[in-house]
Amino acid sequence: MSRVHPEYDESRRLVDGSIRTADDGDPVLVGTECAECGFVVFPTRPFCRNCLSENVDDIDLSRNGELRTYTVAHTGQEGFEPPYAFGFVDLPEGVRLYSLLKGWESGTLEVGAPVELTLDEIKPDPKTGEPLFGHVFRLVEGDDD
Amino acid sequence: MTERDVAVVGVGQSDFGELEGQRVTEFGGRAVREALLASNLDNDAVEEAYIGNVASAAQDQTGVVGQAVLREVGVTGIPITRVENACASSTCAFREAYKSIRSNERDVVLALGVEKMTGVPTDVALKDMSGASDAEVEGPMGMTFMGVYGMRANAYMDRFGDVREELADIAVKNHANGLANPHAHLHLDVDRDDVLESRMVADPIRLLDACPMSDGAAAAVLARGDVAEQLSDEPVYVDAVEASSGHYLDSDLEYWREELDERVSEQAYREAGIGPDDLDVVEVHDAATIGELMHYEGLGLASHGKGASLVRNGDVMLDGRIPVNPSGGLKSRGHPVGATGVAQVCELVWQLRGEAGDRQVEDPTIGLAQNSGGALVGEGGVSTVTILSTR
Repeated sequence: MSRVHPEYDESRRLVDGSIRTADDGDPVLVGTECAECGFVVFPTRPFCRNCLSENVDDIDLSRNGELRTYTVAHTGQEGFEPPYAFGFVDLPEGVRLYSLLKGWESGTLEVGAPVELTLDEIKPDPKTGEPLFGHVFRLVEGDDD
Repeated sequence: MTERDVAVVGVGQSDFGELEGQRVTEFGGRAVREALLASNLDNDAVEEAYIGNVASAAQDQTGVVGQAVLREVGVTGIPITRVENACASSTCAFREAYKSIRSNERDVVLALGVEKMTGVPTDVALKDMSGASDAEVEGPMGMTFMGVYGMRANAYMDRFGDVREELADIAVKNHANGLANPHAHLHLDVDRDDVLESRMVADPIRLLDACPMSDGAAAAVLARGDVAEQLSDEPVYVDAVEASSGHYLDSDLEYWREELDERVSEQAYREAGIGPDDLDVVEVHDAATIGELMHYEGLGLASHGKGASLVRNGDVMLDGRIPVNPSGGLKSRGHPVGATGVAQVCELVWQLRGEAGDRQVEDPTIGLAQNSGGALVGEGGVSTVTILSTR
């Protein structure tokens, strides 16, 4: 199963600079690491949130993380078809981020579940109706699948 | 008693609910009028005013909503400042009023909260609410505010086990209390099954776990202690108003824990010289039932994971050891976001003066109100704790 939506187009990223496709064709989240204090932030930033240094570099973040918590929304924002799931994902770099969740069925989401990054449709552009893309984490498939 | 004491002289509240056809100036003015009458004050005695409001400017009403409301009651020609801090806006307005008296700048200051949420286009109402989260990733990627509560509830139940029935019982309690509150938005008689069978909103939060969106206003007149004592036989002293925000930079926050409440309430208890065991009546921010449960723990009414026991053993019932949300809370009284904090203050003042009618708690002398607003990375945007007493 591809980790990048077949219609993905860089011009239609919902959050600029937050995600790209790597040389291996898989998606990667881009964060910023501080060379002074080591603080890592997502999405990218021009200076360090922790020590204020400008001595920072963009880095690729891990594709695999752990679900910290989640919910399934049965009523939601316009452009999102319920039921849809979202939660907070912890990455090994010490970054926690909000993400829509896919690859779940009723009852399969749980705290601590391993999740992996995909680049998927988020919602239609309210002006053009064209899909907007971004990071979506999906449950890592178990052995019994 | 020192001259730095601050007291609430009088309070007023409009009805909460879908105030169809009423402008903010109408129901806002009504709340202030009631507060001034209850305080035995002429409108020209107010030296300054702070107004909690979230949505007025976004709804193309006015950015000077405080001036517009106060013009209706002749409170003019003074500094009037709008305070916006999501659902805690009017407690933050109350806090500014308190500080200006504490610092000897003023003798009589008005705190007001006013919000119009119904009867506006849905996209505007949703925009009003989604503004209470991160606008770069969370809001644009579909997070909902009840979703934040759903996520907290799942983290809590992962750690401490299933509390769905206790959450339903919190909704039942607050609706039962709200039936005795003439200002409440939802007068509903519901039982546990009604809640557990209501439509799912953000798993496990169901429709009857969630507060409604309401219109409404609430006002409080604060004065320096000696001034308040001249105006009223029953001044209600402000022993603490504390507020703080989340840490956000830490990625190890546990969503089952109200760490922000813990910090704010610790400051407030220290300021007031009391502890949680001294409280007689409590109002908390139950935008969703899991919020109320977690505030029990954040305020130290129960230890981590033990909040549900306060529901099971009846402690938080109107006639219990520590009644919580006798007003009906956000759940029943309603949640006009910028007015909720001062509405909590109104309830505490009525309770402490024995004026709460059929929802009166028995002889309270110390009350606490906790008000929350917004979230970033799922962590609270603001939490406030106010402690009032008749000493």
